[in-house]
Amino acid sequence: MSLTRLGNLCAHLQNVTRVNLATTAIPYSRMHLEVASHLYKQGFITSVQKGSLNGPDLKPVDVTPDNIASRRLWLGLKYRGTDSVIRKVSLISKPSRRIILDHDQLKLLAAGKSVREIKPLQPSELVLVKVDTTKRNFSYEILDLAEAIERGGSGEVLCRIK
Amino acid sequence: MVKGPAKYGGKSGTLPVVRQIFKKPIKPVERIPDKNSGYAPNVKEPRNSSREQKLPEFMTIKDRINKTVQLPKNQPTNINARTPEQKLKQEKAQLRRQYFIHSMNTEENRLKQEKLDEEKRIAFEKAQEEKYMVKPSPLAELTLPTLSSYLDGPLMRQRTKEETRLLKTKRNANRLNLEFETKLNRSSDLLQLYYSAENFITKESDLLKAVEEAFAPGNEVIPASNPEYIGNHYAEDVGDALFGTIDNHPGLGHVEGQLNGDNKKFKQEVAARANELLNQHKEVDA
Repeated sequence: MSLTRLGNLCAHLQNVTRVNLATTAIPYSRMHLEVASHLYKQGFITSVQKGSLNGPDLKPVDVTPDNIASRRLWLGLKYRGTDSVIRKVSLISKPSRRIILDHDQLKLLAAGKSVREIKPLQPSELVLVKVDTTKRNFSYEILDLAEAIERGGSGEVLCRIK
Repeated sequence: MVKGPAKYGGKSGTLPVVRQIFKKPIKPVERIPDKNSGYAPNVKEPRNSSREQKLPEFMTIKDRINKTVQLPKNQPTNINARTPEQKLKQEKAQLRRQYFIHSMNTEENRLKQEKLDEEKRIAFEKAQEEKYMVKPSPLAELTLPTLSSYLDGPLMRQRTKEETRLLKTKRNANRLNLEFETKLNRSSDLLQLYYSAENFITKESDLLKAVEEAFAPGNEVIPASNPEYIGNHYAEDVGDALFGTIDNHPGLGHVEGQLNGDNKKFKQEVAARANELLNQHKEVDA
């Protein structure tokens, strides 16, 4: 998983919410889809749609090696009045400094304590953690902090969404 | 702070393990066959052993009672002739038999009830779990793909064998086409070089002649860098493109036709057709 691409996604989401766009497109990959699903579950966005560069698909389209380059995920952005629901999206682990926390440290972070200079989890804040997966054929899985603690074991703290 | 058994209200800290009343099974034991244990079909079991593991012996409660509470074989014939001690002893033995039978039956019933209670408890827990479990509607399950279903499977469908074969064929055709066009361009360039070679200076006399012509009055060399003096060759280029010629010389197609005899064949066909038309006209006039 590329932290650079995740960083690009964070910057992109901040940019589009600051200019009040209704929808935005992000690349179609497993990492992007996992992050988008967490944003949707936590209520940061209104919708996740499959689509191409031209817009969301009106009919189901098969994803093949021929059209994968033009495939996109379309996210419906959420606003309360004129304010965006997403205020800040930032990386915690950086490509130059990856932060992997063990189970106890993750619990401390969730309990509202500062761990390794990571500021504690605030109410209505989402922290995504990369953990080893039990699913076949995949090497990792992105979970939110509570799920990662429930799963047990250590995890790389990826980003936080306010 | 008290010490010792007083800590536990006068009881010892560790209670003894509850003793099982029935040490042997009271009904036939069912063993679930396990495919990971036992002997393989082609392996013979050791001598004096059985292929299948023996099941433990069992004794039903009824058998056990019958076996235990049997009356002694040597019973005195005259009961009235017994002493009071003998009578008391006999009554006590009778009581023991009754208590034994009662306790056996009670324990059996208790075990049965325990098993029933356990089954009930499991069924109740399962029902409670199902009650509070949020089940997706079967309609949504059959029609709408969920985000998690996308994440569980591969995001992209790989090409089928047929698609792979088609793509390979297409790529091969593109490569061949490119090679053909390259060869065509090179042949055309070669032909152009051949035509240009007519004006090449190859002899000393030609060189002298060219120098004299260049320095003759009125033939001053116009600097090519001045765009005003650069002559356009659009007319020649258009002519070449239209008629397939190269600098008003026969083009590649014409040369090729000449070499493989197509031009000759075409001319013959045209002549034959013209003759045919002429003959038709003559017949009409006649």
